[in-house]
Amino acid sequence: MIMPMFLLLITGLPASGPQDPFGPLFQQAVVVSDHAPLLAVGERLQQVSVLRAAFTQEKKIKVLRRPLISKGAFLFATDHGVSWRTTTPFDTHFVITPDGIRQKSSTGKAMVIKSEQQPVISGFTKVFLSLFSGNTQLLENRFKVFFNQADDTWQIGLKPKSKVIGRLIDRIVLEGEDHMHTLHITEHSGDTTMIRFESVTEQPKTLSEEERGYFVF
Amino acid sequence: MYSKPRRGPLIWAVLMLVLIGMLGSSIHRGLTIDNNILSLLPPTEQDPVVAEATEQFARLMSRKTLFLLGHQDTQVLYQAAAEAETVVRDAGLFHGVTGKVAQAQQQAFYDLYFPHRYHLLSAEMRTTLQADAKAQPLFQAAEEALYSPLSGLFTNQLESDPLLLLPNFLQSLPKPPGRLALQDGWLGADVAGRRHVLISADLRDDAFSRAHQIQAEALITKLKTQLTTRYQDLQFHATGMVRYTAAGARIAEREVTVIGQGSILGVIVLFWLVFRGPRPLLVGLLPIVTGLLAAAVVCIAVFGKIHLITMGFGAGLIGICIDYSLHYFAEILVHDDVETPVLPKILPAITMGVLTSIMGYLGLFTAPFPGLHQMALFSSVGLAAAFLTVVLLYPSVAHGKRMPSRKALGPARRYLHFWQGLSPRFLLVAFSAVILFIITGLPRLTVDDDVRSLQSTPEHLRSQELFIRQAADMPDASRFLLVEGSSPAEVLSREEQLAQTLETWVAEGKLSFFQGITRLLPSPTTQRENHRLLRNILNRETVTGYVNHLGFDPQITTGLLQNLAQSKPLDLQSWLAHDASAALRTLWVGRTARGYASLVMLGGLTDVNAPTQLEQAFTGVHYVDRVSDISQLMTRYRQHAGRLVALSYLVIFLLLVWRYGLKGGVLVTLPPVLAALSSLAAFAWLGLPVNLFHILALLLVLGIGIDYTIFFAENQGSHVGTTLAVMMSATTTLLSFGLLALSETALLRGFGLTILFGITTAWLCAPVAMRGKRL
Repeated sequence: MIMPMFLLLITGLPASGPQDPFGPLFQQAVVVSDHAPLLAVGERLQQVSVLRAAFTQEKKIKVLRRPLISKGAFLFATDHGVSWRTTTPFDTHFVITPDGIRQKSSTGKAMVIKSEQQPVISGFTKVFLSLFSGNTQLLENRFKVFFNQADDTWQIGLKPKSKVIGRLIDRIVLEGEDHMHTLHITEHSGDTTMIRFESVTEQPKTLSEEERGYFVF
Repeated sequence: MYSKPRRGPLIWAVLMLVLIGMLGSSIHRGLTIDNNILSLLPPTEQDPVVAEATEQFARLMSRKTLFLLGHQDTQVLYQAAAEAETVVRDAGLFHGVTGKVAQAQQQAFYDLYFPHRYHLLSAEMRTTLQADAKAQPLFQAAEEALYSPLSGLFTNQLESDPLLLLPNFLQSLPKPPGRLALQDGWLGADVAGRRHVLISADLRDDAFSRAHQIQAEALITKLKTQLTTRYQDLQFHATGMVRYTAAGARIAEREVTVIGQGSILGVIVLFWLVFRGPRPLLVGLLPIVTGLLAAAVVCIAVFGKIHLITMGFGAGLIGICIDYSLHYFAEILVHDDVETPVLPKILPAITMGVLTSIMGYLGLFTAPFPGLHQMALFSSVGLAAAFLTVVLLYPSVAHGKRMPSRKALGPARRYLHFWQGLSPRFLLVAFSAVILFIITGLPRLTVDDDVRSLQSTPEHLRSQELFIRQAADMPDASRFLLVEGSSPAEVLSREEQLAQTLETWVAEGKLSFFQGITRLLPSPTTQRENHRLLRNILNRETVTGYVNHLGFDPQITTGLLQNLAQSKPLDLQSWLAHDASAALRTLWVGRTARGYASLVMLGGLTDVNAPTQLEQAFTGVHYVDRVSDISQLMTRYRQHAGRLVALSYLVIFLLLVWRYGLKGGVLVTLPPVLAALSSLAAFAWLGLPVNLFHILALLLVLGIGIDYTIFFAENQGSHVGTTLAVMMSATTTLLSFGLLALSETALLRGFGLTILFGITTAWLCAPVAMRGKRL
């Protein structure tokens, strides 16, 4: 039986930066249930049923001297999942639902991994989706949670507890005011991804026919 | 004065010594009892290469043993599984125990392919590049992958594989069939809401060595007890050929004992009841001993080993070997004088009897089933030896000083008079009734040639196998394609072409999945093509463009082009030697008499005959369907046997006409013929299907049943003695073969039941043979 090759978890170097902008954030972990401001943020996020935004993704891969910058449309729907529709530089579509992951390339070819076929996937999808749904309890199950608030801006820091996630991801930082406006992911390999959300809106609260189709595998 | 002959006993004694000596030396050399059901079956393949490949594959598959553990709590499950893996590994019975796959092993898989990445492309990329030799699709695919959220999975190899050739190739590999997936290092699946993990092991030796079977079963039992006591609610399943052979051997051993002991007991009781003396009993057992001894010795000499089924069948022989003794003693009873020479009176009858019986058994040689040959030889030799014992030895030892009790003659006389008193009209009516039973029954007769009906799989093993099969979605090892070629490269290329067709079958739903080596290892031809395509599009100019566009270190260009130039294909031998190929390694047959070969396994065929089309469409491809092959053979030989049985009856009829005249011949042959037909009718009325073995058993019905009628036809003055002897003989035969009819082995059960029905009828009708002589 062959093993799912693209899920081979390969060790790499841990993340380290000369000057860590999030140093203060990660100094002290919090307990979610005790932390009222964090709970408030979580509640605000949970109120969202549909969220749309324009995203700009800046990915810094260690080996490459220039960051990879892409732009597109982001859609989150609580009972469905997350959809990243990249428009520049390529037309690709990446969708995460509790059922699995689908990645469609610019050639139109779609690669689907279902959670039921690869149980590892369901762990990842849950984590990804809980980042947007504001389910702070679930996050605490999988991560050590850190929190910081300065004026109206909050920061949530996450460090994986389980080895499985830890092999891929070193830490995640969510920043926001009303909605989340930035997502930072530092991978175990040292690559970083920063996603900025703009023109964030909760309207329309329902999905169109086409949008509903994104989340069906 | 009756002088006890000297020559006879002397010859007999010499023969016995020879036999005992031969048996002794066989035991000394190591007596093998064969319990492999497969060795009973005939070779189905005319093609020796295919036959050998099939056999080799069957041998390897027969060593696979699978354990499936399940539990609600995954932590408990992993703990139990780790313990199980250690126990199985330490037992020393298995090698290749696969349980938890360490990170290192997963890495090893990756390492196997990485050095050859410039010879590996996904089928899709290859087609794209073949259509248009431009680098752009390759570059764009790599770039897109880097932008994807999943990029973290392969970016650490980015420096040595800037074009992401290896991830591209690995992603294109087919997923393993079934629900098994790797999680936390364990291969498993969720069944009924409960997580299960699989541990697989390969037996060190044949599944057919009795010692190994016992050890393996003991280990499995011990492991199950150990785990289920320590971990509550743990589900434990185990399957593998070794479990079936162990169970089969256990059943066969038990039955041989039961049938043997039951028969002997029956004989002893009967002798005591009838003859009431120690001498008849002891002397009566001698032909049985001699018969079994001779049969065993000759079988071992000819075949090298005895099959357990032969022994089971041979145990039924006990009831027939006794026949000649019965006639001898019955004859003594009839003559009120201990001194009267008995042998001359019964010799013609028992000689005809043994000849017709042996002819019946020899008919079993016509079907190419090695198992039947052994049974035939065993039985023929046994009967001959029993016969010779009576002829050579009895005149000297059977006559005691006193007469055995004559009380038993009473009932025999009464039965005889009853029969002689029956009016011809009554007989006509009775026989017409039998014929009516036959004529109305036979049209309802059904046949079942499926070889799987012969398997008597214990329920608890079957349910475990089914459970594991469903969880693991294992392919069907009895149906596969053999791909041949003059070189390994040719085999793999042909397999790839075949795979394209099979893939469309999967898409069309004709096939669930297939497994072949080329699923994981592209053929040398394809690898060279991949390399050629890459060399076409990758040069300093194009690569530099890509490298600069993405922002790689410019030196990477040189490295890439160097690796490209120096790249070598992944060859079969290296692949086979690597741990990563363990799962599919058994599919490589290797060198054959006319080249090389590999196997492609098929799963979930909707039409089991469809793959035969592939034999015409592709050179060097052969479809093997073992179940269907053997079942077809069974049908062919059942029909052949039917003709043979009819022919045998005819030949014996002619022989008897020569001896007894036409009317006599008819009356003597009639009871066995009616016996055979009413046996079939009985099956028909009971709704039981018949197969080849039932038809062959009819030969035995002939051979044994004809004895009764011949004895009645031959013995002029001592019909009472004959009646007594036939009554006893039928009782012992029915007891022995009746016990056989209770066997769990379908083969023995078929024989037993056919003979049971047949002999009953033969015995009831046999006295009609007397009337031939009178008229």
